Order: sequence, then structure tokens, then C-alpha cells
Amino acid sequence: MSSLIANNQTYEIVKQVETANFETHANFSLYNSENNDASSIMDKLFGFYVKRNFIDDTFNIAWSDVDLSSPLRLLDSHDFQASSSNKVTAGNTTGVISSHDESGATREARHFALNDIKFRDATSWSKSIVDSRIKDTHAIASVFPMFSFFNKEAHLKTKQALQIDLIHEIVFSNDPITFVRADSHDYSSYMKTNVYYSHFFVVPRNVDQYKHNITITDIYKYDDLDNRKNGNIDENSYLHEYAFNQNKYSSSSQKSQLNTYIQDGFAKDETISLSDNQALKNIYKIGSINISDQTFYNYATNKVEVGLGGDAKQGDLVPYNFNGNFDQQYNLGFIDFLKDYKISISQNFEQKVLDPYAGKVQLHITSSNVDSHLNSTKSTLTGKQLQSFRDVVKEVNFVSLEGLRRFSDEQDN
Amino acid sequence: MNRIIKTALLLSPVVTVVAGIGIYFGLSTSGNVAKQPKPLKKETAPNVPDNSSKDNKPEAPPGLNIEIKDNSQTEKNPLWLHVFPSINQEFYYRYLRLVDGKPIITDDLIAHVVNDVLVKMQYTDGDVSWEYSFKDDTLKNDVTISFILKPTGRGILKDVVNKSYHIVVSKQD
Repeated sequence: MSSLIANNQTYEIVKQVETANFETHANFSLYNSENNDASSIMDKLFGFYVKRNFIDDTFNIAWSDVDLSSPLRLLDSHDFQASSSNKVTAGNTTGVISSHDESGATREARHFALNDIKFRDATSWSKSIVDSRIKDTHAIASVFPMFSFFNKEAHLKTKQALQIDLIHEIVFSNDPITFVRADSHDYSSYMKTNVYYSHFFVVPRNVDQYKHNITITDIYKYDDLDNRKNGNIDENSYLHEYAFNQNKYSSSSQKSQLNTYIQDGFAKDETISLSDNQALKNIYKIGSINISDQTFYNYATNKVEVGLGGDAKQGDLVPYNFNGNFDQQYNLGFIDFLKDYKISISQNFEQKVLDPYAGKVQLHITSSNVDSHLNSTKSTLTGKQLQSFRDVVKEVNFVSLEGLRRFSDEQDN
Repeated sequence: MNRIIKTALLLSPVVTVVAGIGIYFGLSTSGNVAKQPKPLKKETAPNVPDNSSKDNKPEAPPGLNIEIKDNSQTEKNPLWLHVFPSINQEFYYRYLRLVDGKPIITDDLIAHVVNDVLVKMQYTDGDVSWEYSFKDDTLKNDVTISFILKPTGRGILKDVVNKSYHIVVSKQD
């Protein structure tokens, strides 16, 4: 059982992992075996990668194209197709990114965005290439993803944190060494699949019985890919890039739901660490989910009310006379795929804060006859004034400090 | 309704005690007989009716002439215990408030204590002064409410009687 240390305490991790199976097919027709460059071209033909956009659960397709220093390898056309159960879509080029590799050669990567098919709905991705310079060359590589069921709810107890592992990037490539030796036209068995995850950590804050609790949960993240790239952090690492302001929250405190907002946080957090020995130098907090409504404790009804009352403050409050299991629930409202994710947290409070006999707050009264040396600010009542005070109390039950002082000021006649 | 019953409960011992003292004063002034006031055996909680005061009704043995001497500071049965009532935390707990997670003693709580003490005082022949002071005006978790009775000297009491109520609120994490 792995655990996590954050907020100066150890959390047991409850893990949910998204899994998928990728069936791959690679086919190369009319392969010109006399061309010595074929195998290195093949290496580029089949390799592509799929990058998921968490915010709307669409995906981008990209591949590293050709080495511009070698004109032979320029390709004429690229086509990309994705389909879901009821839709087929072709990709549109959204950008060409040029970069330089270690040898100084310029490389290009083409990006295709497929906005109308959700990542989880995709049933096939295929890429075909025609290269007229290598006569009659036509290649097609297809992938058929199968995503497993993902349970969108979690019940956390005190000191438990939720780890959600979601597929972030998938790299399909062929094994260049085995590929060279291939003499068949079906290269499926030479395609390799590498899946890179984003790991999200939903870490509930401990509920404080004495104070307004503003932050419900902190969200941390680390990417396999960041670790692979040795320290480069994904540019989309603010929580608002992933989350919607729809995290309706409710608790044992009140019947009505409270509104929440997302607060970004982006810093390598020194206080979080995982115990199962993963290389976690790039784990960081991306933000937190906070309550925006104000609440206050109504001492007359012993209930927490929402709104601007006497000493209302932002955050949720445990009723001061509450003991037992305190439950919090909210929809994570966090990335398209998880927007219905229900999280409930249960925390036990054995003792009430306010109770004359069993409360955490205790009142002690002792008395003595030690001369307290009353100073000049004292209030003094003569016998008559005391009698008039007593007469008034009979009527009104209670006289405030202010009112009490007025009895002393009354003319004693 | 509840409140009326409570008030009635609170007042019943006071009434009996006041009656007792009244009877005693009547005897001591008319009969020229003086006796040390026989204090109540124990300090009774204000909410518990205590009939023992009836048994303590002072008697005036005829012919006995004892000099009146204030014994309010005798250790065994100090008078200050009886002039000023004892109070129970249960009645004042409800006036505590939490501010920024810290319990504080409110003005309301102090006023209720002062009200109750002034109402339940069993000897009123004199000037009564009161004041309160917090140990720390910011924390407001420790207050001393002091009372002092300066008798007119016409009654049984000759010397000043002090009583202080020390009220502390504490918190567990």
C-alpha cells in the first residue's frame, strides 16, 4: 500500500487507474525492396502519437515528419482519420512545429486536432501516407483503442487521498531494428505502444472543528512524460486548465449546496512525497478547490447557516454541537472525462466543541473572598439602587452591562 | 414556560433564606438578644432547593447577652459564602462564543453573572460594588468578577465582605 505525505501528515492512497488496450495494424503496400532508404522511411511512416487534452477530452495527433536535410524523404501527403462509433473525422493541420535535434538537423512535427471526437469515444486512429518519390508507396497504420470501464466515484476516509491515473499520451512507433529485417508486408507485430500517464492526487484537507474550512481539497499532479523529459513541466499545469467551476459541495453542516471556486497553485511542493519510491521530483500542486460561500453558526438553533450572518466567514463550518461522522460530498468538476466524478469524505469527530459537560471547550468558575482591590472604575449600587435594579430584573429578566452601569449613575434619593 | 419554571426554582431557596434572615433580625432587635448568625451548613447551589435553612432558623435563648461581633472571616463558615451566591457554569456556558476558533467570555456572560449575583444576594443593607477585569483583554478567556459589600453598619454585618468569581474558559484541540 503506497502512501503520500502532504499537509504534514501521511495519507493512505486509494488508486484508480484508467486502462486501455491498443490493437495495432501496420500495412505497407507495394513496398520497393530495392530502395535502401525504405526502412528508415518506414520508421517515420508508422510512428505517431496521440496527446489527450484533458479539459475537453479531445486529442491531438502529431508526428515527427521528415528530416529536411534529406530531400529524398519528403513525403507528399499525409492523411489522418479517427472514428468513433457514429463518427468519422479527418484531421486538420493546426500547426507545424520546427525544432532542431541534437545533430542540428531541422525537424518538423505536424499536429492534427480532432475536436469532434472524444478521446474515450475513439474506436480507431489511422494514418496513411503516400510517397510518390518512392514509386507507388502507400502505407497505412491503424490503432484500435479499447478503454476499460472507469468507476467515477470514490469514498475517502480520514487520512486517505485519491490517486487518479489517466492516459495522457500514447506513442506508437515501430521497432527499427526488427523492422529492417522484415520481409512481409504486414508490420503489425513491429509496432510498439508506449502509454504515458498523468497522475492526479486529490488530497482532502482535514476539517477543523473550530474554524471555517475554505479549502476542501488540494490537487497535485505529476506526468510520466515530465519525468521522461527529465524536468520539463507540462505547460498546462494550472488547475483551471483542467477544471470547471462546477464543484457543487455539500456537507453534514447544512442542507443547501455551497459554491466553490478553483484556485491555481503552481509550485514544486517540498512537503509532498510518495512512499512507493517513484521518481517524483516533478510532482507539484496544480491548485485547490475552495468554498466561496460564507457561513456562520447560529447559537440559538445550533445550526450552520449560509449567508451573511453575525460572524459569517468564507468556508464551511462544522456545527459546534456536532459529533459523529462528518460527511462532505462534491463533484470533482475536473476535466471533461471526470466532470461527474463524485467524491465523498467522511471524518469522525468524537467530541463536540460546545457542550457544557462533554465539550472540548470547558468553562470553570471558582470563587474566593480575596480582596480584589476594586479600582475607581467600579460600579456601586446603594441599597435603594439595588432594589430598583431588582424590580426591573423581575420585569425584563436581564440587564446588560451598559444598563447595569446606568443603575449606579441614577440619583439615589 | 421553561424559563418561568427555572426562575421559580432559582428563587425558592433565596426566598427561604431571606425569610430566615428576616426572622432573625426581628428577634435580635426586639429581644435585645444577640447571637452570632448561624450560617448555613454548606453553600447550596442556587438551582437546588435546600430546606436545611429552616432547621437553621436561629433561636434566641432568653437572658443570654452576647456582644455582636462580625465573624464574616471565620474560616469554617465564612460569611462571604452566604452574602453572595454560588453560581454554576452550566447556566453561563451558553453565552460563550468562538471567535477565530478561540472561545471567549462575552460581555453577555459577565452581565448574566452580575445580574444573578445582584439578584440573589442575601444581605443588602449597604453599598454593593462590582467590577470585572480580563487577565488578557485580547484573549478574553480569563475574567475575574469581583463584588464588595460595604454594610451600613445598622444591620448584623459590620465589616466589608468580598467575593470574587474567577471564570476561565479552556479549549482542547
